[in-house]
Formats: sequence, structure tokens, C-alpha cells
Amino acid sequence: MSRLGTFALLNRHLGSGRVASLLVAALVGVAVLATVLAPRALAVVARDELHADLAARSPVLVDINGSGDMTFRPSTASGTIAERVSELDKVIATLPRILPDPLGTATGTPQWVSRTTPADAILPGVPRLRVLADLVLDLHWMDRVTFTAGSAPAVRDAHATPDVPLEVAISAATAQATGLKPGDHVGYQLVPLVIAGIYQPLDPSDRYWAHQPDLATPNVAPAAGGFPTVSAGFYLATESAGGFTDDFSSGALTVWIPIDGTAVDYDDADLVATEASAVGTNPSFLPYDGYLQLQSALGDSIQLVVARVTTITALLALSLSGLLGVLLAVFALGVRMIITRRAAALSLAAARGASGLQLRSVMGLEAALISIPAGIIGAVLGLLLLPEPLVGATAVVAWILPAAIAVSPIVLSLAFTAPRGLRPSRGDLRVRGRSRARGIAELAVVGMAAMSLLLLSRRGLATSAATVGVDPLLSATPLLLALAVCVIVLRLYPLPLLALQRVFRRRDGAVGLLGASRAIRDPALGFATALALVVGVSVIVFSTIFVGTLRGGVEQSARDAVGADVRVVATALDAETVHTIGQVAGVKSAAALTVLDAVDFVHDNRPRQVTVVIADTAALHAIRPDIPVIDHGTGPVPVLVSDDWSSAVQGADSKLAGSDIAITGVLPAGALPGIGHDWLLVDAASVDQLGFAVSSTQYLLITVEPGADSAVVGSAVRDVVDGVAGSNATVDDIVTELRTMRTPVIVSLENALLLAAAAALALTVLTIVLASVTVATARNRMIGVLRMIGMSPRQLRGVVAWELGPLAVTAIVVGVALGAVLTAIVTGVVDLRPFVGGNVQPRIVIEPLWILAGVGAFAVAVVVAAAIAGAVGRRVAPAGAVKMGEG
Amino acid sequence: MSTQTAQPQIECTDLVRIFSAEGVEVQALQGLTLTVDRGELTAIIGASGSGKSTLLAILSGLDVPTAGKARVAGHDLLAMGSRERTRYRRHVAGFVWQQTARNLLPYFTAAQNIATPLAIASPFAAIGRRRDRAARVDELLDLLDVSDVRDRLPSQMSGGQQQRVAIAVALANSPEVLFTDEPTGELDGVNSQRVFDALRDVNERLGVTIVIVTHDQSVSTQVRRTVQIRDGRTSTEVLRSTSRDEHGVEQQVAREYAVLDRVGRLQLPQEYLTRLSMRHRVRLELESDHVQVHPSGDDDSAGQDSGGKDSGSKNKETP
Repeated sequence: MSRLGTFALLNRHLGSGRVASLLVAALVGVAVLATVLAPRALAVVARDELHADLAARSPVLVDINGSGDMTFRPSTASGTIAERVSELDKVIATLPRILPDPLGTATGTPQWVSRTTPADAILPGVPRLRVLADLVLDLHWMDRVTFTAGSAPAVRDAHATPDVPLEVAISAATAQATGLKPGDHVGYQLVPLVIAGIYQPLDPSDRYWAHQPDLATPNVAPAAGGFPTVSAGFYLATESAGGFTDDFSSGALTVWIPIDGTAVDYDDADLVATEASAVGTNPSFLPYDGYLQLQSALGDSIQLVVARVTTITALLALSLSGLLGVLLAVFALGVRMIITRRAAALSLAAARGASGLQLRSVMGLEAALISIPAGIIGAVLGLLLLPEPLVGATAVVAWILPAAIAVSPIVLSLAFTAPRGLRPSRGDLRVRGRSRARGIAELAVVGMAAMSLLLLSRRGLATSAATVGVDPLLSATPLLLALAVCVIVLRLYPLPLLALQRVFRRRDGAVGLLGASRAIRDPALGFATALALVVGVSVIVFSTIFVGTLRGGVEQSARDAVGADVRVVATALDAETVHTIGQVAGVKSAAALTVLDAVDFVHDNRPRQVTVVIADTAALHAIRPDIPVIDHGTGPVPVLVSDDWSSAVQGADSKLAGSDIAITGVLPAGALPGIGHDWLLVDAASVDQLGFAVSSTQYLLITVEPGADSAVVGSAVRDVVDGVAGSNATVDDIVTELRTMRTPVIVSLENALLLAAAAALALTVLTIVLASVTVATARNRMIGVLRMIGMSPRQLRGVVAWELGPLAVTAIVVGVALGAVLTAIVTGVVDLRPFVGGNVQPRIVIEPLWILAGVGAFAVAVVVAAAIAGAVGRRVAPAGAVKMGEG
Repeated sequence: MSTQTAQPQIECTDLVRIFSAEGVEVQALQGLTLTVDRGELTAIIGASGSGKSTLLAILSGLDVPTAGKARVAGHDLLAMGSRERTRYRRHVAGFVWQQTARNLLPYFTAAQNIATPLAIASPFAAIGRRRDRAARVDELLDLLDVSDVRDRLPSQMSGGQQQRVAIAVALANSPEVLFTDEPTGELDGVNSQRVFDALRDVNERLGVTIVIVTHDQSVSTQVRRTVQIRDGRTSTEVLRSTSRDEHGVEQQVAREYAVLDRVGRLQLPQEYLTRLSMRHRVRLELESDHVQVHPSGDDDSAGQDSGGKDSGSKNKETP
């Protein structure tokens, strides 16, 4: 028994033909999933970036640092020195309490060190270096070290006679640099010292050693023609400090409050930054007129991360808005397909007196039944996949896009279901009134595109809404530009076709003439298809070029940061070590540089000091073609100078270590990374003329053999230098540098762009399929007619190819150009330096193979779609096809 | 619903419909005039391209003429707003097209197809009135003698059954006029006859005005009035009546009329013109009760007064 109620009828109607509905539902689901995931993924990336950045930064730049004076309670009062120091320790321990939350919650236990003023320590035996030492008071130092020789320093009584030596402990690295061993006596200004023990840090990665590096590893500074200077701190027993209270009081108190970077929530980042910047506003007072001035670079560190995350958000929005356009166009095609499938039923219902409202309601209901459940499934899946809570306005704003996507098929179906539009109409019968409306809309689109481009170029990618981080108009620039280009393309598109038509008219053969005429008069594929294809190709091209540009930029920055494939910076490497490094497997060539600090330099009769770098410039040039060879001749010594220093030495005569010099060139200050910014480069041949004694190498630049892994070579070189006593060397290689430079934001931006390219490719393929399916009835009818008048399958393939061909070719040409222009606009407008970590805006890197692969995949999709469409068309019986749509 | 009996049910005057493509204009209707009275069963016959489909599209409210007047049951088809058009399609005009695919939804049974226009006209019928809908459906199925296919899908019915169900669908909301477009175009002789029988039956029992548009000349034998369309104009009319002769035998009498338009223009059948070699101009003579049309006589090949044509101002016989 047939059920005849309205809902039964609706149910039956909506239940028929579900394939197209499933396709649109799947699209909505995936799109909602992506837009639900995107802000959450961004939140995760932001948090990871913040934590990674804070973890990578020196603790000195993250922790809250304090410096000030401490005074001890007068020794006349009761209590031991240990008790008095403990009292200070307790006060310092309460410091975090004055910090507001959320900064306060990220703090750890404050630590402090009190040090006397450094003074010369006289080593036993023949002097071969200068040692600057200070006494270090720390309540807890014994907990952080293990003794490798000797034992903990014994307590020296405060009232002992001056000739009673003070027992101290030194680090193993200091012992190695100075040659001191337990029992050695050291002359010192305050009191004679005796080395009681030699220690090693229990945990070298403890933040403590980053704050007090010379307590683990002494600072060694080579000097031109003189002894190197070793600076280090010597620990004493806390109870011994009683005899040196005045010296500690006049020395330096260093306090730091550790900040746990992982405890800083990105959502609180701005607040934490503000709070951290405010810690130095007022000094903290310590007992007995002591005081402490706190300061923190944490705010600056956080602000850099926030700026980077804000830029990536804007960049992503900029890159993905095009994709959103393609998605909308595909939705339009999908909805159009559903309506086409329903057209017979709708036009019948209209003829039976269904009002426009009724027709729209039924189609809207159908679209809602498709998209709302799909949207909900997508959203729930997204929340399950990435349950990252969003806070504040973002939590609300992040739902706007998924909701808009889920609603868009409903809106589109309401818009497309015009009772008038249900009858099959002839595209070549144009109504003039509509073309005027079209002209106005097109002008508006072009105008908006021009305006957003102007705004973008004048304002940059500024964020108008701090909470959202995305400026809608500017982010939509690529989409607006693509729309404008599509408008212009569709206006100009008939011109070359008309020319082709004229050519074909003079020739034999029907296919070309038919194809060109049909493309002009009754184009099978409309604006939505053109938009989807052009924007899709442009997104593919933009993404690939931009990823290449980012990668190139990061690589260039890494190269600039290392200076070669591998770089060694050491206190001193002897000739033998340099030779050994040259023999390491994978090393192609190495340039050894000697760095002399604080060389006398007189310019315009004013004495100054400068760092001098001595190199065999021919060998250096082989590794670094950007550094020219210095030709040594008679007369003044030719030198190259860093650009930061060049302004200081222009004009008048200059003398270096008493000799006349001539500046033959200027190099970027960062050309020799690891050596400051103010330096002069002289050729090794000039050393005698300048009177320098060059005995060791401080700086080694290495290129590796082609195919060799810089990280492996670097590690082998590290093994060599670690075996050399006192080299104090750090080895950097470009591969490891690159790895550290690829921060979470860079990686996620690259991934997002590649994902966008893949999604754009998938959507363009889908566009072709949908467009091809939507016009199938008309095409099959035409194929039926053409078959009956005797066209061969080959000719029919040609006719079908003409349907997709012109638009596909246009999409490729215009899309590639648009993608390239967009990359140029983005790199021209957005400051990418914070991303790539260098000082120079990265150049556009076009990787033709990648673009060719993307465009090739697109072309293959077009060819396959055309082949399938043709095959399907030939399967339809001509007689049946011709009857279709008649009446 | 308009019920002015004095006025004709369908009244088309000087209908013009021009389709313009790029640079090409096609005049589908060139001043067509047609009048159909209430309760008439009329066939409009024309060859392909004669303009009959355009006329039907205008009468069904799907298309709007470029010029002229068209009224159906008091509705001015040129001035109809969307609301009035909806009302017109629901309650004034019913349609049956040639292809069953356009008449019936393939996924609805016969009963559901008939219920669809009822649901469109009053979608939210109260619970108590659901029975009315079912009763109306059964009534229509009975009327068209297709009760046996009530719960079958169109694909499970014969072509004739499909068209009779289609007529039932068109009649669901009791329209005043039923327009049918080649209703038997896809049917064999037996099924065609059953469809015509059904149409005549509906016309007689319900008093619905029926217009059949077709290219099939043989249809003229099935209906009382046949209007020929040629080149976008009504050209001739054939009126058929049955009378009994003196022996009491029923005889079909068919008379052919030319159509005279509002300003007095007349279209003579092509065969008359050929036979009498009438070209460019003719000579008219007014007699007391008729008009004579003669070849002009200028033409050498023209025959001499070999014939004429009576023409009444409005030839119409009421049955």
C-alpha cells in the first residue's frame, strides 16, 4: 500500500539517488574536519614553537636574572657565617612570591651565587698564561659536582692569619687549561690559595652551568703576541666566607629564578611576556641594605615567538584562502549536480503548482540532510583526532568557518533552485539585463582585488584583530585576485577561440570548428569550473614555489650561520690537529684562520682595538667564493674589513699593530659567523710585515666531499678536536644547523602548504569529474547526434576534448602565472626573516620539477576525465540520446 | 476560479513569440489567435516547427509571449505574478506531456504520483483529511480505470497505463483546463485509443476543457474540433458533428473552415492557392451573404473564375 502523506512522499523523494549526495556529504565532512583541525593544529604548533624556542634559548635569556649587592649581618652578632648565608638564601627563595601569575606558576626555586671581584692568580712555575680568578660562594654547589681529584675544600677560620691558605676547588676544564692539580699553591691578592679538589659537573646540562659557565669551563681569550687569558671561578667552603665578607659584599651577587618554558601556556604568552618585562620595575631589597635588581629577557623571547606564530597564521590564511575558493566552487558544482539530478522532479512539481518556496524548501531540506550530519561527523572526528582546547575568542571564531562550510551547500541549493532555471535553457540565448548585472559584479570583484592588493602592499600582513590574528580582507587577497583573474579570463577567453574558429572555418574537418564554436557559444563548463581550475592550479603552484622558497631561505640562513659545511671554533688548534682534520674522511678542503683579539689599531690618530683574522685567502676563497683573494704586494698591508667596522676606518690613514694598511674590500659583518662583527681580514703572507706570531688556529672552515654528510663529517671532526687537550672547540655543521632551524612553525607551514597543494589537486580533479558529470546529458545527446551523422570515435574524442581542453589549457597558463605572482606578492609583503632565521629576505626559489609534477597531475586528470566522458557518451544509444530533453 | 460563462475559457489574440540568438531571430508565433470555449475538446495540430509547442508552453505558463494577449479561465498569462502562476498551475490548468518520464516520478507509485499535486496544493493537511487525500487518489484511479496499478512504479506499468495515470495526476486538483502534449506519441494504436477514450470520458463526465496538441493528423477523427497551426498562426479549423440522416443512420460530418483574424486577415489553404495559381493578390467580390475570392486575372496562367471560397465571419457550430 503506497503511503500518501506529505512526509512519506518527501521521504521517498529524498531517498532516491544518493550517489551525488554522498559525494557532497563526503566533501562537506572532509572540509569541516580540515577547518576544525586547522585552528587546533595551529594551537598545538604555537605551543610547541613556544616551548621549543624557550628550550633552545640559553637559560640566561629565559630565566629571570637578578644582580645586586649583598651585605652580611655584622660578624659581631651571634650565629655562624653559614647561618647568616642561610638567612639570605631564605629571603631569596621567597622572591617568586612577588611575581604575578601566570608568570609565577612557571618559576622554579631561585638560585644565587656571590662572587668576589676577579683578580690575577699567580700560577706556580714559569708563567705561560694569565689567570683571572674570583672566589665563589654558593650554599649548594657541592650538590652539583663530583670530585675527580682531591677533595672538598676545608674550612678556613675567619680569624686565621693571612698566611694561612684558603682551600678552593676548580673545575676539571680549568685544571686542564691552567695545569693546576690538587695541592698546588696559587698566589692571590686576598689570601694564598691551595687547590683542594678538582670537580666535574654532575649534570653538564643543568641550567646552573649556563648561568655560571666559567665554573664549568674557563673562558680562554687568546691575545695577539701575548699569553692567553683564562678566566674562572674558584669555589670555597661556605664557612670559609666569614673571613671575606667585605670582599663578597663588594663583589657581585647573581640571582636567577628559573623559568620552566613548558609551563608557559601559549594562550598566556602575551600576559607572561608583559609580566616578565615588568619584573625590573622596582628593585627588591635584601636583608642588611642589600638589594637586587631583577630583569628578564623572557618577554622579548616570547614576543618573538608570538610574532612568528601570528605571521604563520596570517600566511596560512593567505595561502589557504584560495583553497577555500576552490572548495566553494566545488560545492557549487556538487550542488548543481544534485539539482540537475532533481531537475525533472522539480520542474514537474513546478508545473503541478509547487511554489518557488516549496521547491527551495525541498532542495534546502535535501542539502541540509546531506551537509549537516556530514558536518557534525566531520566536527566530532576533528575533536576526537585533536582534542586541543581553544580559549577565549578563538574558541568561538574557530567555529565560524566549519559552520559556514556546513551551511554553504544549503545556501547554494537555495540560490540555485530557481523555478525559472529548472527548464533546460540554451546558453547561447542571452538576456541583456543579466549581462549588465554581471558587468557590475565583475567590476566589484576587480575593484576589491585591487583594493586588497593596495592595502596589502601598504600595510603588510598586519593583524587587524589581535584575538583572531587574521585580517579577513588581506587574507582573502589571493582569492580576490584569483576571482578577478577568472573574470578577466572569462571575458578574454572567447577572443583566441574566435581566432581559432576563423582558422578552422577555412579548413576541412568538423572537429575543430565544432569544438571552437561550441566553446564560444555554449561553453559546457561555467564560471565555477573555471574558478576552481584556475585557483586550484594557482594554489598548487603557489604552494610548491613557496615551500621551495622557504626551504631555500632556511638553507641559506643555515649556510650563513655556519659559514661552510663544517666550522670549528676553538681556543687554539695546533698545526698537527688542523692537518689531522684535513685527513678526516669526507673532508674536501679546510681553511684555517687565526683570530687575534684586541689588536692595536690606530685610525685618524685615535687608538682602538680590533679583532684581526689571519687566513690563507686563496684557500679561504676556494671554500668561500664570496671572500676574495688578497693580493699581497709591497707597500701598505692590504686588508678586507667587515662592513660594521668599515665606517670606522674610512678616509684617513690607518695603522694596524704599527703598520700601514690599505682597505681593499668590505665584507658583510656576518661573513665569518662565530667571530664578532668588527674585524679585519689579512692574508697569511702579511703576518711577518705586521709582526704577528701565528702559532695556532682558532677558526676552521671545512667543505665536505660531494655526497658526504656534513653531520657525519662534523661528528668525526668533533672526535678529533675533543681529543686535543685545551682546544675548547665547538664544531658546527650545516646539516645539524638546518635541523635546529627547522622549528615547529617552519615544519608545519611547509606541511600545510604541501597539504594545500595536494588538496587543491584533489579538488581540481573532483571539479573536472563533477563538471563532466553535470554536462553528461547534454554531451551524450550531442554525441548521439554526431554519431548518427557519421562521426568516428576518434572525431568524437576530439569533440569531447574540446569541451575540457581550452579551459584546462587556460587554467594551466593562468594558474601558473597567478601562483608565481602570488608568491612574489607574499615574499614582497611579508617579512619572512623571522621564519628562516636569517638576516636576508629569502629569494623566490622555483623548482620546475615540482611545478611540472603538480601541473602534470592536473593535466593527466583532465585527459582521464575526457576519456571517461567520451567512453560513457559512446555507450549511450544514439536514438535514446537524441530523444532526451525533447518535448 | 473564474466562471464567466459568457467568456471563452481560452482566448489567445495575436500571440507573438520571438526567440533571439546571437544575430538570429526566430519568430515561433506570428500573431496566433485561438478561442476555446468551456467544456470543449479541441485538438491543435501542426507540423514540427509550426509553433504548437511554443503555444503550449505559453498556455502552461512556462513561457511568456513577446506580444499579444492570452487568457485562460480569466487569468491573464502575460500579467501573471509568481503567486498567481502557482495558483494557476495548482487549480486552473493540468498538463500531460508526451514522455511519461516528464509526467510521473519514477520512484513514486501511481498513487503517490497522484498524491504529489495534492500534497503540493495542501502540504500540511490535517490528520483527519489524510483520508480525503487517499479517497481522492482512489477516485481518480477509478475514473481512469487504472486502480489495478495503484501501487506500481511507472516502470511496472504499460505505456497506456502510464499515460492514464498521468491524466489522473493532471486532474488531481480538479483543474478547469487540461493541456496534453502528444499524449499518445509513444503509444501503439490500441493504447492510443484507450487514452483518447479516457480523455473524452473525462471531458464528458467532468466537463473539463481539454486541449490536445499534436502533430498527428489522425487525431482530428477523435475530437470534435481541430485547429491547424501553420507558420505560427492558426490556419484552418475542422468541426466534426454527428447527425442522423433521413434513414436514421449516424453520420460524421466534417467541415473545414479558414480562420479570420481580428483585422479580417484570412489564410487560404495552400492546395487552393496552388490549384488556382493564386499569387500576390486576389480579387474579392462581396455578395449579399458571402465573399468571393478570385485569382487576380493579371497572371496568364490563372484560371478564369474557376472557383471561390465562402467565408463566414466566424464559422462555428455549436454542438
